[in-house]
Amino acid sequence: MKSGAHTALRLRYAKRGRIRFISHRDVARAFERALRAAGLPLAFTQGFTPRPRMGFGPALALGYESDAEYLDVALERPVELERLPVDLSAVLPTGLTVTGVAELAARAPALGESITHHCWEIEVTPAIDAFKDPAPGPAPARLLDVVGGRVDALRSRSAWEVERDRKGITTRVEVRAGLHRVEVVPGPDGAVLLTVEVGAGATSPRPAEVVAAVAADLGLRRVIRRAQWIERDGVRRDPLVADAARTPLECAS
Amino acid sequence: MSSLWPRIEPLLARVSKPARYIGLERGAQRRDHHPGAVTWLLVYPDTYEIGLPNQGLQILYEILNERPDAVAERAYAPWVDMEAGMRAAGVPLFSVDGHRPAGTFDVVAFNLSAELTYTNVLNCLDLGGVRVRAEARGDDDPIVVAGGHCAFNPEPLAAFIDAFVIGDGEEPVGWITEVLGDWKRHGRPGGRRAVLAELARLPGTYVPSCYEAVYDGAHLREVVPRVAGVPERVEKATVADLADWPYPRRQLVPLIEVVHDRLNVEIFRGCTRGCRFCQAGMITRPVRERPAEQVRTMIREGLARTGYDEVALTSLSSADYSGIEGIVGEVVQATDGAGCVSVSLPSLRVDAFTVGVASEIQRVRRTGLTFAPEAGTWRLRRVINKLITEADLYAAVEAAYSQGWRRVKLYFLTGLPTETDEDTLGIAQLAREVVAIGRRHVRGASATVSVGGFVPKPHTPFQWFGQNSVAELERKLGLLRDALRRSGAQVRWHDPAASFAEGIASRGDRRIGPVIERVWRAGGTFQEWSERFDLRLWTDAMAAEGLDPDWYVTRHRDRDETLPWDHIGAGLHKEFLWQDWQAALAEHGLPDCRWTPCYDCGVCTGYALEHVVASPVPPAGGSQGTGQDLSRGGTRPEQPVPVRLGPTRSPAA
Repeated sequence: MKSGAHTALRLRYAKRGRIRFISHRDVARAFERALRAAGLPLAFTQGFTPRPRMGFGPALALGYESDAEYLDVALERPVELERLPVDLSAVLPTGLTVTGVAELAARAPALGESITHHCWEIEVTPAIDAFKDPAPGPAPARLLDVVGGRVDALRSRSAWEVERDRKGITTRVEVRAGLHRVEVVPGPDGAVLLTVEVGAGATSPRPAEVVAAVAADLGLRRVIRRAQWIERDGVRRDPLVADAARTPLECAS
Repeated sequence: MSSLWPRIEPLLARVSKPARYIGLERGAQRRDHHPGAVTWLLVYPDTYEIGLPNQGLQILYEILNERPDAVAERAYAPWVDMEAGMRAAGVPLFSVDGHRPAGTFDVVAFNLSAELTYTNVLNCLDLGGVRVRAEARGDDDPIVVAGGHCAFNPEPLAAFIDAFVIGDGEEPVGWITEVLGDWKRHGRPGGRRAVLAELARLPGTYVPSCYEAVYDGAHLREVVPRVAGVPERVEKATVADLADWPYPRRQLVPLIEVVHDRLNVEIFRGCTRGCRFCQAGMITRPVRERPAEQVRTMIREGLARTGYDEVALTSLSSADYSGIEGIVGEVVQATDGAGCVSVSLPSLRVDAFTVGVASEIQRVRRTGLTFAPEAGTWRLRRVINKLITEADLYAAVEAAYSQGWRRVKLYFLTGLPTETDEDTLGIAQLAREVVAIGRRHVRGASATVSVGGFVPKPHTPFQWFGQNSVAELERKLGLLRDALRRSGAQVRWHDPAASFAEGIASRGDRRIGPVIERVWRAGGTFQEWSERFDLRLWTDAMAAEGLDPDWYVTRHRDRDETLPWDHIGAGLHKEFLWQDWQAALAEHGLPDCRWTPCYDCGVCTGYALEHVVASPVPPAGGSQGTGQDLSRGGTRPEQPVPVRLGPTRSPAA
C-alpha cells in the first residue's frame, strides 16, 4: 500500500457456490460497497473520482471458485479486527466470505507482485453436453486411468508450449517450468480430482491449459483455487501471514 | 418443488453474463413456499440489467414478502442464448431467488413498462410452461397478472393476462393475495372462472375475460361487462399518502452492472406540469410528496445498508420537490470529504435554478448534464405545454458550462402535433446556440441532441393525434441531421420503425393481441433491442390478421370515437383531455395546478384526493409553473441571467 494511509489490512476471502459466476470486477465492486456498508474508515484515492484504495491479488476467472483470495485495503486509522471478518461477511453477497484478516506491515509489497504460487483443484467428469439434462451416471471405470496416464505423460515432458490469444494476437509460451506439481485422485460421483500447483507468472500454465492437456474430451465440473502462497527464501507462506505486522486473525469459511 | 439449480448451472458456462441468473443480491429474500402462502413470481419482461433496478417491482417484492400470507420471488427474461439452452435442456423459466419453475407459482405477475416488451411477456409465459392464452388455462395454472404504466391500455394483452392492476400496486397486491388465499384454502370453489370474477370486483383490478369488446364495423363500439357485479369502468388504484409506503426499505444491490445502479429514493409520485405528450404525468396524478423527514431517513439508512456512493432522488420532475435544495445540501454535507456521496436528480427541469442545485451536488464528477426542452420552438412548446422559453434554456446552459460542465445533452421529440419543418429546424438552431454558449466557457464544449419519434399515448390530450409515419419521421430526422452538420452537436435518434411498432401496441385494441402473438411466434422477442427489432415481423403480422397499421398508428381519432381504454379510468375526464387537446391546437399553455387554482382534470375531485405538497408556492427560478408570461420567449437575452451561487463555486478544472 502506498503511503498516506495510516494503516492497511490484508483480507483473505472465499468465493464459493453460485457467486462463482460474477467477474473479478464485480467482486471488486461488491467489496467496495461492503467495506462502506461495514462502516470502515476507508482511505480514498485522489482525483475526480475518489475510489477506496484497494489492491487485489491475481484475478480469478469467471466461473472458478476459491478458498484463498486476497485483498489489501487502506484505512485512515486502525480498527478492531476481532469482529471484522464476521461483520464484513454479513454485508457481502452470499458466497463471498472473509476468512482471515491481518494488519499489514509497513511497506509490504503489493499482492500482485508478491504472490508466487497457486494451488488449483480441478474436478473432471465424463463428457457431458451442458445443453442436455446432465445425468452423469457412473464414470467409466477407466476415467482415473485415462487421466492418470495423461498426467504422467505431462509430468514427463521437459517442454510444454501453449498458445495464447491476446487481443487477436496469438503467442506461444513455454510453461513447463511453471508446473510444479500435478496429482490425480478419485473424486465424488465418479469424477476425478486434479490437484495442480503452478507458479503465479505469465510463464506458468493456467487451469484451462492443464484441462486442455489432460481432459479436453471430458467434462469440467468445477475449478477451485485452494491456496495461494508467497515463497521467500525457499519458504512458502500464506499471504495473510507473510507480511503481517502481527498474528493474523483467521476463521473458517 | 425443488430448485432447478442443478439443471441451470451447466448451462451457465456457455452463456453471456451468467450472473443474470444466479440471484444472491443483497436484499434478495429466500422464504419457504408454505401451503398457507400465496406465491407470486414478479417478472420483468426484459433483461436482468434493465429489470433489476425497477422500483415498482422492488416495492411489490418487499410488500408481499412482509406479509405472512404471501411469498414473492423475481424473474427476468432470459437473453436469447440462455433461452436456447433452457429450451434444449427442458429447463422452464425460473425465479432467480429460489430457482423454482414459473409454473409452480400461484401468481405470475408482469411489469409492463414498455409496449415493445409485450412479445417477451408471451415468451416468458411459454418458457414457464404456462399456457399463453388465458382462456386455455385451468384451475391449477398460475393466475397471470400485469401492472405498470402500459396497463392503462390493457386491451392488446387482454387475451393473455387474467387480471390487470391499474395504478399504484401497493394496495391491490394485498387484496389479490387475500382473495387467492381464501380461494386456495377453501379448495378453489367455482374454479378459475369464479376467482377471476371475484378479482374483477376489487378496486383497480381489471379482468378482461369479464368484459366483451363490441365492434361496429372497423370501429370499436364499446367494451362492456359480460358478467354481473363488475364495474363498467375500472378506476385506477391510488396511494393517497406516500408516507404510508416507505419502500423499498431494502433495495436490491445487484452483483453485476445494471442501469440506474445506485440508491433510488422516490421523493414524490405524480406530476402536474401538464406536458401533453407525457403519459406518466397524466396517469399518476395527483402529486404526492414524501415527507422530507422520511426522505432523509430513507437516504441515510439506504446508503448505510447498501454501501452505494450515489443516491438518486427520483420523481417525474425532481427539482419541483418542496425544499429540494435543503435535502440535497444535507446529503452533500453529511457525506462530505473523501468518498463523498453523489446525488443525482433525474428528470431535471430546464432552468438556471435547477443547474444551481445540480452544481451543489455534483462537485466532483461534472461530466454531463441533461435537459429536455422536447420541442424546437416556443410555439410548439406551448402546444405540448412544456413551457420553457429560450431564455430559460440558454440561462440553464450558460450556468452549466460556466460551472464546469463540459457536455450538455438535450432531449427532443419529433413528430409532435402541429409540427412544421420550422419547428424541427428549431431544434438545430437551439443546439447550435447551446454549443456557441458552451464554447465561450469551455474549449471543446459539446452538446448531444437526442431525438425520439413521438408516439401518442392513451389517457393524454394527444391520444386523438395521428402519429407521424415512418417516412415522415425519417424525413424530419434527415432535415435535422443536415442542419446540424459541422455544428459541434452530435445527433442521436430513436429508430422511427420502432416508434411505429410501439404505436401499434400503444393505442391498440383487442384485435392487436393476435398480432403480438404472431410476432412472438415468428421469433420477435426483445423488440426493445435495436439488434433484435424487426418492423417486418409487425407489418407481416398485421397483414396476416387483415389489419391496417395506419388505421391504428397514423389515423387522427374523432371526438366521439370510442377509444379502446375508455373503460379504464385514470381519473381524468375525457372532456378535460379533449379541451386540453383543443387548447394545444390553439397553442395555449396550461399552468401547474399544484400552485394555481384547480382546473378540474377530474382526478382529485373524482377520487376525493388532494395534492400532498409541502410548499404552497412554486420553486424559485424558471418561467415554468405559475405566473409565467406565456407570450414571452423566442429571443436570447442580452445579459446572461444571473445564477444563484452556492458555496463551492469554483469551476472544476
